[in-house]
Amino acid sequence: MRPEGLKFTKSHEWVRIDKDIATTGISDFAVKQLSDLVYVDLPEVTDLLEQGQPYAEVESVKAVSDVYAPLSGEVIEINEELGDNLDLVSKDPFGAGWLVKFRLSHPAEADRLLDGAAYDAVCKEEAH
Amino acid sequence: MNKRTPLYAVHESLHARIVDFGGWDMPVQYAGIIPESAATRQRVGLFDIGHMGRLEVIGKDAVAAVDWCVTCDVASLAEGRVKYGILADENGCALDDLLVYRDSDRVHVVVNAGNRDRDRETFLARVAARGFDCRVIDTAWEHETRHAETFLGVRQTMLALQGPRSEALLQRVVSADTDLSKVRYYRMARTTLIGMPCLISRTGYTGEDGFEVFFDAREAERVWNLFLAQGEDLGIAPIGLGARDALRTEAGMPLYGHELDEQTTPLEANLLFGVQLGAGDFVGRDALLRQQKDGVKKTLVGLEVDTKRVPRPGCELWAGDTRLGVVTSGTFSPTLEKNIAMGFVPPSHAELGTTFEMDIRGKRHGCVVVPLPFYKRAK
Repeated sequence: MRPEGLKFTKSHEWVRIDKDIATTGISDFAVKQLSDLVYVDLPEVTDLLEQGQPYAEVESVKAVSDVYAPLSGEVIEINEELGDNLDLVSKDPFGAGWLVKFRLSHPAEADRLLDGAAYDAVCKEEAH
Repeated sequence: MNKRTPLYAVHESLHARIVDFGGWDMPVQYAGIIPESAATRQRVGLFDIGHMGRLEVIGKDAVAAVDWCVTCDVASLAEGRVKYGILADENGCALDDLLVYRDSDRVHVVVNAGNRDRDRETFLARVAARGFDCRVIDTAWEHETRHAETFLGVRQTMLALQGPRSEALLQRVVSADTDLSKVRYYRMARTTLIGMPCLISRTGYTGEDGFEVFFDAREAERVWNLFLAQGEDLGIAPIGLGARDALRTEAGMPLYGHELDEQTTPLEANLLFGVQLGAGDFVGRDALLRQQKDGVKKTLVGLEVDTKRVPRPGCELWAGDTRLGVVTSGTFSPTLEKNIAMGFVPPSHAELGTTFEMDIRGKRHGCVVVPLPFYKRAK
């Protein structure tokens, strides 16, 4: 089950918005599709994210995938734990497996994100 | 519409992820590339390789014909032996790489799935042009009408068992008078499997000990399930193309379309062991002799890169402003737990320990030439 209160993108990122701070990562569906994760290449603190643009790479044995920014803003923290323990992303993608926290620059962009039900529909569509 | 092996429904029932490979719908993974690689290296893996092409060459001139068609020395290949070779064009470039099996009264040739049709046509054309007295029968081709002439007498398929426990498992299901400990590396044997004739060879594409088994395609599902049941206590696992690719890359083995193609000779790809320039004549020999004398312009090397970002095929290799070449295979190695790659560079940059740069998706990282293979099993 996915936690309540998250917003999603069609490209399988999730975001939790708390006032002007957002936490983002990749969804359980993305984790399952990628499988065999071996490395996540994260941005640096103070890097700027732009909604819909790639900001990180997830490497699996077989392929590399871009991770897209759900919203625009400035990175204020990256999940340092992932360097030694990438399993966090696979095992707890919505919790300990978060990728970055950032300060929103255009909060109104959130209107373009999907709620849980709409995201479920996207996943169902792609699973076929 | 892609082709499917007789085991397609079985892969679906095992919830394998299916991908296109050379025009075939094939399982890329079941449990995942990392656990499947470990199962093969440590225990035994079961691979559906029914997509591979298989030719049988039968008749008086069978040996001479195959000897002319491929780069390896088939004429002096002893009965029961298997040899790696290249199907080269007049320029010495690779149309495919393959295994030649010297059976008692015929020659078997196993080729890549994506090149099957072209290989068959190439063999047929060369046999006809030279007037060899032999027939070339595609034992896996749905339009082939001459299966009755083949060793098995029916359309066949192929499975591989790879890993240290392969011999123990296969010994349980082949006829009791076949002692697999006597079928050594790159040897073949005729035997029976649950009472039906089959061909086995101690060959594979993983760098592990193991066998490849040819048998009646109609029995594919029964044999697959038999291996899984009989291999359960040995820790058997079905293995997809994803792990197969990682395993062969670790073993430094070429994949057609990556390390070999129509612009690449076996000399450039360091596959001289599959080319006997001192033996009889074959298509491409003159060009290869010339290249041996003049030297190659590019050569295949092993590479390790100074980043956790994973090198992939197509990544360019640079020394300052000079483009050296390109990565042909690259992956995270599940066995060695580090990034590995193979690629072509000029001989001037091929020495072990030479450093230059690899462009991984727009960012350059230091890399170094290392010995191949990356992984060698303990004997």
